[in-house]
Amino acid sequence: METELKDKIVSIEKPAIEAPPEWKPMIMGILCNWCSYAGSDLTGTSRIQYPPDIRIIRVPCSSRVDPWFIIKSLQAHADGVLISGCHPGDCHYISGNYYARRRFLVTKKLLNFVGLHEDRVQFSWVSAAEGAKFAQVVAKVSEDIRKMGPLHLYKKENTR
Amino acid sequence: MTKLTYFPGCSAHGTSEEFDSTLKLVMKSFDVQMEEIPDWNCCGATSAHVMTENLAMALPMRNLVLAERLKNKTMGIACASCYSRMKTTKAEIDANPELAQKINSTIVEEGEYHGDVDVKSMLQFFYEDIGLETIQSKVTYPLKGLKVACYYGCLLTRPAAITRFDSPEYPMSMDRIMAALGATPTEFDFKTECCGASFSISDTEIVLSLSGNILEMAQESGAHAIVVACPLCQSNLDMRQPDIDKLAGKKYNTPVLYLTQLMALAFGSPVKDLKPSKHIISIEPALAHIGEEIEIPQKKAKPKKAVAAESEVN
Amino acid sequence: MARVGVFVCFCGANIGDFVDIPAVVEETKKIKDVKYAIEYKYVCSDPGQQMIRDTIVDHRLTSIVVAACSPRMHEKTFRKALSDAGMNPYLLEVANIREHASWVHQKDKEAATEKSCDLIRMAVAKSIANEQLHEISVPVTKRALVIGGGIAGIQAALDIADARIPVTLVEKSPSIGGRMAQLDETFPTLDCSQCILTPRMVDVASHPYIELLPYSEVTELDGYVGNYKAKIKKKASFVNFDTCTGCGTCWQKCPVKVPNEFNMGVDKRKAIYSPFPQAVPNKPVIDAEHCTMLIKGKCGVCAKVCEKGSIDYEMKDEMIEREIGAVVVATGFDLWDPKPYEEYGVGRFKDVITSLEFERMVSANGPTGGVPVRPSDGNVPKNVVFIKCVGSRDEAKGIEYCSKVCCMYTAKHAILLHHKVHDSHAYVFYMDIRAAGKGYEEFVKRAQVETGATYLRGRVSKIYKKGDKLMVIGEDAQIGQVVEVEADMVVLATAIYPYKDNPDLARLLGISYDKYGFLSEAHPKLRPVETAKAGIFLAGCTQAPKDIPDSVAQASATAAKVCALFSGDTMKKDPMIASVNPEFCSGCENCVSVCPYQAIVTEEIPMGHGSEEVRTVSKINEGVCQGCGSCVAICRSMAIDLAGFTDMQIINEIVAI
Repeated sequence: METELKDKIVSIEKPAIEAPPEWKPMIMGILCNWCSYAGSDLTGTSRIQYPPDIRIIRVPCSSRVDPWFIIKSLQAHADGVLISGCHPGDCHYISGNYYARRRFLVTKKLLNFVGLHEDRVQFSWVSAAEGAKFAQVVAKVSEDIRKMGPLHLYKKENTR
Repeated sequence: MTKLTYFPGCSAHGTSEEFDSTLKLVMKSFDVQMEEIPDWNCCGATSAHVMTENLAMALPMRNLVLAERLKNKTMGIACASCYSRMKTTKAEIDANPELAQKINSTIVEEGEYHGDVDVKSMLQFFYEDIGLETIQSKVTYPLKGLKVACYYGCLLTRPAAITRFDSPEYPMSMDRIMAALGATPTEFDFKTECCGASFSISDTEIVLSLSGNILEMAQESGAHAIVVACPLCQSNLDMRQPDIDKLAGKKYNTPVLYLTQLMALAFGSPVKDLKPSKHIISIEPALAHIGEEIEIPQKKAKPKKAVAAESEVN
Repeated sequence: MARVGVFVCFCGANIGDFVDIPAVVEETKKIKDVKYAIEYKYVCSDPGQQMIRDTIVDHRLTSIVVAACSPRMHEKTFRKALSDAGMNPYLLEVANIREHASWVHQKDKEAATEKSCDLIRMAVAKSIANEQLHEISVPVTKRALVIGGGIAGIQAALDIADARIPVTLVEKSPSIGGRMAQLDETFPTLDCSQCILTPRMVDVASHPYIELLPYSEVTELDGYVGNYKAKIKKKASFVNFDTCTGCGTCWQKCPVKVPNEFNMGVDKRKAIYSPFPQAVPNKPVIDAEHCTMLIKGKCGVCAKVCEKGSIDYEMKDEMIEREIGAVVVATGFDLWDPKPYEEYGVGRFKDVITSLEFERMVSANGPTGGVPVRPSDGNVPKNVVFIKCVGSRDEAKGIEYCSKVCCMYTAKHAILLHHKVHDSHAYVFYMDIRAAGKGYEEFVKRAQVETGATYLRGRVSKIYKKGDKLMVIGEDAQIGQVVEVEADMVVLATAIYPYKDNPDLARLLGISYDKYGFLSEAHPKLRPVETAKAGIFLAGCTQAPKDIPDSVAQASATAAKVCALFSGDTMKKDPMIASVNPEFCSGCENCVSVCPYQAIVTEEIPMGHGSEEVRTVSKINEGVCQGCGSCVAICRSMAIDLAGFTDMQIINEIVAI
């Protein structure tokens, strides 16, 4: 698995940086209010545990997410970004998640083009009823990012 | 001259010789040259298709590969079982190239499969490629007066997703061809009912009762004869009729003719070309009806309807 | 200069046990702009809220962050506290340190604490960019449009009108009444459909708050909730309704006969007709497709016999406009065409009929005077086979869903058959009996026990004709055998299916529909009568198969929704919506195409600098915008922003950690 992932990394990110022992990944999670944010609340209510690497921002709909937010997150401090919205067909705003899906396919291509591993940015569908799924998604993203190591490319100093 | 790749199947060279010979006569009238696939093999409709999947597909596939060598657009198949095996296999391997490759690798000698030959039953070929108009134009001896029940059997139009021809429940193609010949197709509800052929050997009782139902309904419809387009249907309904008679306690006396026999007859062939001796139930009495005036059912007096007066309704 | 106050909640032990709250507060105090930070056991409690109110005033705070449970839980509570202290409620941000920290990292207090600090940093950063927002008021036109005059539309119209709100009821056929008018008796009580329906129809016609537009169709709907404008086509009836007395001489004399759609084509009507005796309004219309006068200019009998001179062959379609605030869509259902069931002889055997044809036959005002007869020979049938689920629950030939009413009306038909033909016998082939409802199971039992209907669990595989009988071959799965029933007539319980023009109507109204054409509700459980478009509601079978009680209940629910919408002169609306800055807008109209609510229009504004030229910019209708933010992300000029979730707020959050 590890080698597979490394192989997928395009040249600029290769070799993956040996992470310092105290390093913990930082994942920016941007969730839609109606499905995924509610789902993440349910994860909490159900006391399902997941890695503490994610910081969650609430937006009304996944279609609100501007690729700018993703890029800014990666520039600032995040090692990965997770966007999550309603399942296809279930968007609270009828069709927003379809726009989001198309937009992120393009964004991923761009990020890959500039040398980032495409799995740094992940997209998922989590409904308000899928507390357990949200925990699984975070665990998976966290594991992927841990394998990739800290993101050092394009980091801007003093962005905070 | 059109060329048609011909897959006769085992029965055309045996029990259904009269199908084969009249088919050739009919094709000649249409100016279609039939090219029999050289070295064709069993279609796998025996026990192969229930025993091993690979063999069940390898057998028809070999025929398909051989058929491709003849470079004709269409392969016409005489027997409904062969047709079903060939068509099903083609549908499966066309949809799944990996499977196609796997099966193809067991028959390397014959060459590679490309999938560019159309598989049709003879009925389908007549109906779609020849067309009713052409059929009608060849008729020199109209079968006026002959009432026939068209029996399609279970495989000519089914499964619908694979055959993509006519209706799976109440097909009309053969009926229309019969009408084009001048015969009168009867309203026959058992067109696609099971004749029990799959139990031919293991449980003949079932075959007798199922085939008996078909004969009963054909007689009920007023038909002088049953018309089929499949050797298995023919043999079950014809050969077993004496046994069925015994079981039912009555004589059906309903001959079972091939579609091509009646076509040949209508196109001017003498009755002897139909090989009447091949039939268990004599065909001559049925054919004697040709030329008879068919009484048109009198229009019944308007049924008394328990209809409230119109003004009350409106 | 921002002065942020932060309140960190223990939530009893819920947060306190897993997050080191004093450490969080210490860390929070280090954040620039945070002027005040304090922990409290339950911030949501009355004393907790009082503390917020006092602190706002004492410390002259400019925004507030509460670090507690999910904002989906108590955001409203805390907003109210801000409001009470005289602060704009939208200056609040909630850091979710319970669901997103203490509850999900219970084994790692250090990480949970660190995460809580980060979440608070993000909330503080966001709150600094918060702006004062005010609820939006939208004016409301207090008139409702009800589309469809079946029982659902009638009920909705009456309920709304009883609240003294004007209603325009549009019905496409010449009379209201819909499918229910075609029914004989209704399950599970067997009360006569006409007897309970016609008084309501008369109520509609005479109600001072209802404008009834029969023989009309809605052709356009513009605007937004509270402010719609509908265009309605009044189809030419060629009869002057003002002078017509409904005497009926015209349709008695008319020589043209046409299959009667009200009786499912069992008999004929005339080219000038009123669909049924109790029609409301009871005025005839001329069917332009079949009238020889209108087609060939010959005949004119109806005009000759009309004493009032009400016939006007020159009449044209008329377009009218109505300003309305809300729409109730109640267009009902059609029957699924059972043609694919060739094995049942559909179309070949005259005595294989659909359930609605049977319903018309047993109906007292029906074409056969209330007695079922075989269409082939006019004889009264003795053995009748009813086949349920024809189309319904059949993925191979029909549709996947259950039509919900067939089990019940088939039981009713079995009983009615017995009532009308005493020596008859009913056979019912079924897959399952779905009789959930008040008195429903008892009703099915009644059909089985009292009437003695033979219920056979299994599908019918074939119907064939033997003599003048229909032989029905099916499976009786309970004895595991194939059975054959000799029947005089077969009745197919065909599925409920939406009208094929439902999708057109949905597009016209700007609402969505499912793969079959049923109109979609906003939420299958919690918003079953609303559509995703504010101010448009659904009642009856246009949304999904339903029986009469359910349709009536849903119709009344739409009336409650409409009345709530019209309860004030203006409507209050969440201010978290998008707005365009015309200075930046390049007029590309990308936002127009992504908006799911058609809330964005374009307008022309002057170029400025004294130029006389104009340019096109987008403009968001604040009455319609729901605040999803699609347009914000698509805008390449960054001319659009979403209040409450501005670019600045989100970027602040992102870079805060």
